[in-house]
Amino acid sequence: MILKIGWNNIWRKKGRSMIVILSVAFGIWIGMFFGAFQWGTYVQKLDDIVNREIGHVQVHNSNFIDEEYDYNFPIKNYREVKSVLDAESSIKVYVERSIFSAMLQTTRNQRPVLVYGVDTAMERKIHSISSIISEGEMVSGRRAPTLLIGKTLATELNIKLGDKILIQGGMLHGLKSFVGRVRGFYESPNKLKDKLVVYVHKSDLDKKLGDGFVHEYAVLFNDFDSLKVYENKLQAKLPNNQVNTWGEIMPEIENGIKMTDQVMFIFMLIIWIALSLGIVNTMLMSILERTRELGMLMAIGMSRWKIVQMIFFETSILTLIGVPIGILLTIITVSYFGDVGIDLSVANAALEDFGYSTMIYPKVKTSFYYQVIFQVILVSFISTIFPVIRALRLRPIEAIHKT
Amino acid sequence: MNVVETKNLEKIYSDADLEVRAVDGVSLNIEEGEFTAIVGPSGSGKTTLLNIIGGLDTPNKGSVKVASQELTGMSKSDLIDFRLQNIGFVFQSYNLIPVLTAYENIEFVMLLQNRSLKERKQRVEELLEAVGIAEKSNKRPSQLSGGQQQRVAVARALAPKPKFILADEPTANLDSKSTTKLLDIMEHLNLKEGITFLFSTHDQRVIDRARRVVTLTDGKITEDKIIDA
Repeated sequence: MILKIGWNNIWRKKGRSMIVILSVAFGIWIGMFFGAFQWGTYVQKLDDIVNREIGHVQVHNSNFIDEEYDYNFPIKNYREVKSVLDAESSIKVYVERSIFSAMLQTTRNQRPVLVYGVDTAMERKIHSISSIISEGEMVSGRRAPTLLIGKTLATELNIKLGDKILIQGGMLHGLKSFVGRVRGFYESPNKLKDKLVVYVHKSDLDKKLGDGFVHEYAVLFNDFDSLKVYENKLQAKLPNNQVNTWGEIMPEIENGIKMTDQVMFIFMLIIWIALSLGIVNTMLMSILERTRELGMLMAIGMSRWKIVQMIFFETSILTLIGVPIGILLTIITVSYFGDVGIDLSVANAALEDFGYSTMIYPKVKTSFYYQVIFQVILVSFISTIFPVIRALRLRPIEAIHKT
Repeated sequence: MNVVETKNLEKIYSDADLEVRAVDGVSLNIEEGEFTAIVGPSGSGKTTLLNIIGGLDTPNKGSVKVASQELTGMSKSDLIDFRLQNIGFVFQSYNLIPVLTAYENIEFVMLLQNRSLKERKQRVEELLEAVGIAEKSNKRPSQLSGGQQQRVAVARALAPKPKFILADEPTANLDSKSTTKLLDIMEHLNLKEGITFLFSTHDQRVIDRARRVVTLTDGKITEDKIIDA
């Protein structure tokens, strides 16, 4: 009967109840959609940069990073590293690269770049370079090594297909240089990379520089969530090398993700505060309107606990109606935009310069649904406490005579 | 046997420089089966006295016993339970639960007492018959006239089988016909079933039916008259 009273009370003022229900639904939807957007950005960023390029963990010569990716600091014990990586069951895949900082020089311009000497077949395990080639090709075995450069860099330096380019690496500890020919342009989702990375076949590089150096192992693990553990494990097995997680290699990406998490937290907090105020306001109105009735209920012997139950039941129902509507809206919009994507290039082309893709595909983690549902229920519960206290403070004798 | 016993009850409302003695040394016993009206002009303390007897208000001084239990000093939650088990309330403006039907309004108090479904059903049907609104049992208060609502209120007050019924100006909002009907019902319940009624009223029609009239003036009992049948 108390439930029935609660249920009917909700529908006494349909408009007001609908406002609460829609507030809950809208709160969930906007919160989850924003969360999906953030998560989509995060996943994409991980996919574009971490999963397809940096890897979860990288192994280098202990001085390689400190020496700013100098060519002269290769992994000297690369056979040992390889055997450790081969034996590690938690590793999904790894790739071997010769990678170094260099100066790219044309007849008119020069620009610092990062040369990636890759084995395209091996690289395909994590990333198909051919899939980002927008013009030309990346063939190996030519006299002048094939260079694949970013379209953005090419435009900025006015480089055309077929141009010869001088690459000079090992600037601080022994110059290593070669001339390559640009035979292809690529366009990746990360414009920062497009300006910086120059691909070359490792075999061509080895022929030209004659060292057969390996500078980097980029490793992908099966479980992304335990990278710190894996890093420590690998580091213990390879004490003479430096093992770093992607976050340590590119802290700006990790910090960016952390910052978006904080933005998300603040955003959700604002939503929940707004929702909370809506619920408090509605329930207070409802209680003020029913002052006489509540006074009568107390007078005839309805216990305080039952009054608490009744008011909480009313809020719970409003919330429980709003939650599925919000989730349904989320599923519909996230599914739609998850397929077609949200193009932010018009709104903010600068994103690309920071290495962000401007096409975002929202994604929702299942755990996020539970998280948001839990938060909404918690907010509803907390928001009901104040109206409940107001109701319990009523003195039946005064409440009954309230006009 | 006394259902209500008050001794030297005092209720004083004080403002910064004004003190109102709403109930001033009232000692009153109400016996089982009485049909008593507390009368007096507005502001004489009728409602305050009834509120104290009903455990809705506390006196500044004196004692009030209902069904041999002292109410002063009881905790709020004990008082709520005490009211549920012992006192039936009829209010001037009916105060039914608008979202429940007449049947459910009567049943509700018994639900608070955790009575069984069978017992509730039997009692509600019996009371609906007794107050003459059996055919309106599925109507909500808004679909009933004032008189009918007050009869539902009487039935609700009787539902938990209280020791007595407290009715604060029960006919104040009723027309003549409804008042007569309501009084007939209450009188019948009093005479045939021995239910104790204690009213506050200044309605002469109610006073005329009462078998004991207690007059309050400025918070004091100025007359206590037993009316011979």
